[in-house]
Amino acid sequence: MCDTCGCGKPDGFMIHDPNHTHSHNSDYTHEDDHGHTHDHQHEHDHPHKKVIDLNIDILSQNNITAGMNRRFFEGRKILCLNIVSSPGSGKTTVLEETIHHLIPSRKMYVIEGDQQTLIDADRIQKAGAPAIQINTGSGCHLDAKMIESALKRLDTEANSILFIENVGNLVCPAMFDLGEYKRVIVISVTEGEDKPLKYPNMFETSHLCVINKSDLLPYVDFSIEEFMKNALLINHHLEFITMSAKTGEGMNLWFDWILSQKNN
Amino acid sequence: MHEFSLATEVIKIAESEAVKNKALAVSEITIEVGSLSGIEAEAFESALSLISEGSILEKARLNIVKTSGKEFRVVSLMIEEE
Repeated sequence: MCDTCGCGKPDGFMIHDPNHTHSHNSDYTHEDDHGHTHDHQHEHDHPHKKVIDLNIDILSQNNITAGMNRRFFEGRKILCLNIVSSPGSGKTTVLEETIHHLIPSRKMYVIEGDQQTLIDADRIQKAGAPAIQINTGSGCHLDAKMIESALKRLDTEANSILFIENVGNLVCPAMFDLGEYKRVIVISVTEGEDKPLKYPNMFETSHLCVINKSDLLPYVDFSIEEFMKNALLINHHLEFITMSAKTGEGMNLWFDWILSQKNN
Repeated sequence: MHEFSLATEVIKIAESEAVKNKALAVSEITIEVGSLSGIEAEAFESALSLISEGSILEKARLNIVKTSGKEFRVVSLMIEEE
C-alpha cells in the first residue's frame, strides 16, 4: 500500500501518475495482462458491512455558525450579550430599562427569542431599540443559525450593542453557542438559592449573574450569600450584580459593566 | 427538549456520511454522551427513535457510550454496502 497517493487502498480513491513508480520488496510479480477476471471467493447474497470512524461533534454545525457570527461581531466591534434565564426573571424589563438609560450613548439592538408571540419585541421597540422576534415554535432554545438569519434583517451598525434575549429556559440554551461575547444569566430573588446546583450547565457557561428583583428581598426567604456560594461552586469565575430593574437599585453597576466590555 | 434538535443533527450527519460512502443502509450508529454534555442519554434515545422514522437511521441500532466529560459526538457508523 502506498501512503503517498492512496493507490492500493481498498476503499480509498485512486490517483494514477504514469511517472510514479513503486519498488516493492516482494518476489510477487503480476503480469500486465488484464484480460482475465478474478473469481469471487464468496456469494454476494448479503450486503457487506463496514464501520466508518467519524468522531464528529454533533454540535459542530452550530459551533461553526456561531464562530462566523462571532467574527462578524468582532469585525464591526459589536458587543453581543446572550441573556439567559428561567421564564419570569425579568429579562425584558432589564432590557427596557437598559435601553432607556444607554440610548443617548450607544446604538442598541435586540433579538428576542420566545416560543410564541411578538409581545417582547413590541416592548423593546417601544423602549426605542430595533428588535427582531424569533419564534421557536416547539423549540426550546435559540441556535446560531437563527441568529445568523436575524442579523441579516437587523443591519447592525458598528460599535453598537446587541442583546440576545434567549428563550426562558435554564436547560437547553446552555448548549448552544450563538457567537456572543459574553453570556449573562438573570435570576430573580423569588427563585431558590439552589438553582446553580440544579441547573449547573447554564451557570457554568455564563460570565455574569444578574440577581434581579432585589426590591423583593424583604419579602422572600432568599439568601444572596447562599446563592452566590452555590453558584461559585459551579463556576468560580462568575461575576455578580444585585439589582432591581423595577426600582433602579443597583442598575448603575449593570450599566457600568456593559460599558466596560470591549469586543475588539 | 433540545434532544430533538440534536437528534435531527445526528440524522443529518448520518445521511451525509451514508451518501459519501455510497451506503445502502446504516445498521448501527455509535454515539458518545458525556455526563457533563448537558444531554440526557435516555431522552436523546427516545427523541432519535421517534424522529428517525423514514430516515437512513430508521433501522439502525443505537449504541450509546457514556463517558464522563463534555463529549457529544458520533463516533462511528456501521454501513451496509454492495
